[in-house]
Amino acid sequence: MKVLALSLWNKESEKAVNLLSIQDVTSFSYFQRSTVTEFLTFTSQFMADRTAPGERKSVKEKEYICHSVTTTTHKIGGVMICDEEYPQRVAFTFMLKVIEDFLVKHPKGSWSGAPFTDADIRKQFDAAQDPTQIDHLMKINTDLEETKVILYDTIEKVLERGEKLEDIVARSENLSATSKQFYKTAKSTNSCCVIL
Amino acid sequence: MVTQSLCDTLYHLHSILTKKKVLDSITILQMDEPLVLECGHLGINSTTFRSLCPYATERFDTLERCPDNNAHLDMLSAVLILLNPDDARFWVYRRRKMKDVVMDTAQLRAELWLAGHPVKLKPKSGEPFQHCRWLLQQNPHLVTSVIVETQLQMCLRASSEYAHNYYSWNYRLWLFRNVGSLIDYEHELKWSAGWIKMHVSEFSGMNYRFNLLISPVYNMAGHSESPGTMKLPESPVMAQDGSARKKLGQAIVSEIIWICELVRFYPDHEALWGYLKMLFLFCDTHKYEYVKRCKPQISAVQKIKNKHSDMFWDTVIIGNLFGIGL
Repeated sequence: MKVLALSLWNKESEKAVNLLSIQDVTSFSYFQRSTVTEFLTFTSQFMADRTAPGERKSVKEKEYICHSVTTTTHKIGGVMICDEEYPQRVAFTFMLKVIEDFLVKHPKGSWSGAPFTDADIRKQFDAAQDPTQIDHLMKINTDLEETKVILYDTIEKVLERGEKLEDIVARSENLSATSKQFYKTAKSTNSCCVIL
Repeated sequence: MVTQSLCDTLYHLHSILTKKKVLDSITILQMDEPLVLECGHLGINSTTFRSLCPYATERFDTLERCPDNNAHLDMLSAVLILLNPDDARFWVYRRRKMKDVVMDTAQLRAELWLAGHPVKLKPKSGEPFQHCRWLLQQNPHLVTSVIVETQLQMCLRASSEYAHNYYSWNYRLWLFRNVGSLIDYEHELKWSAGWIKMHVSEFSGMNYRFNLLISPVYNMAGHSESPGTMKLPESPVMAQDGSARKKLGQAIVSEIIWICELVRFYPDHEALWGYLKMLFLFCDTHKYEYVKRCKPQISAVQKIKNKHSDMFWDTVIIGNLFGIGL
């Protein structure tokens, strides 16, 4: 049971702008952590850009699942990357709670364009590693049952017509040259977990 | 030139594996240098790795045919158990060498340290665990709680990095059954509960915990070496102490109540349903009547409807225990 990343995005413009980003890459080997961090950021941006207000999406990629949601009222996107054991319902409820808490502490007028760091949300992220610890949140958002989640088997299924993942990776500002090369090599050798 | 470079890398790698006191991880990487050691983490160039294994294997095969190359063979086998841990030849060579040698604690620890490295690179390999088990069996007088703790850490690492790791759980259970007096039982119980909570798909961990729970009453020594199944003890040597039996019954009931809570939280995980079924079957086999105290929890679980719950209620015994049918 593992939550790898949680991020919030300002979706008012065409391209999502990062508001907050928390990651836990300790389960990866030492030398892979910087590459993994970059790909987590890349995937989060990718999903945030492709989740319209009111939508909820879950994308499965090998043993990881990326959940994304965008609120309709404030157009804030939430992206959470977990392993496949992590309950989907808890992930979405938790993201919506974090978005609520974020808006209380950092109202729209205080956004400068640079991402925030928030120790309280970090604590919540750490607590969320054990879903039973945030079980009380399940009782808060009762309308979750009525909102459908769009499920995708792979991240490539989220692409729009004409888009190619290789091109998006090559253009990405979130990935270093090393990470882009790693992606190319892993893809050509058909390694598992190319993105994650 | 290339051969000399590989030879140098071989010796350098051997030096790192045997002399470094801290080696937290070993990773294969795309990089320029053949080896990099940073903050106790070893990186091996992927191209070097692919070339080193056949080169070292060929040298090993050649030298093994000549009688007086022990030092080189020791060095090669130490590296080859990392490069190719599934090839039993290199492990067998090391065991053959140590079989008639009287080891001391330092030598045992050094060999266990070496045997633990492949787990960092290939956690699903079974040979490292078999080797460690052999070492402890050969030198029971040298086994200490510190050594056992390092072995438990090795199991934890392998189980964390490769799910449903039969070899690591099998070895952990072997440690508990054979050197259990050197393991803190209460700590191990608490640890296993934490593990299950965070790995709800991992039946091996649940099976391990079940064996921990029943161990104070059932003497498991000499029992079947297949702990990864749902097989219940067939011929347990049961303690005659009635209070111990009662205490076990209460522990099993507490366990059922806890697992029912987890099943309600994670209803789609088959392993949890399987563990719950195992606990009920145990109670029924050994006539623990006070399992009926779980009726409120089992009634709550009855409300869950999915393919796993259907298979669970298929077991007539559970229905008979509580008067609950399909």
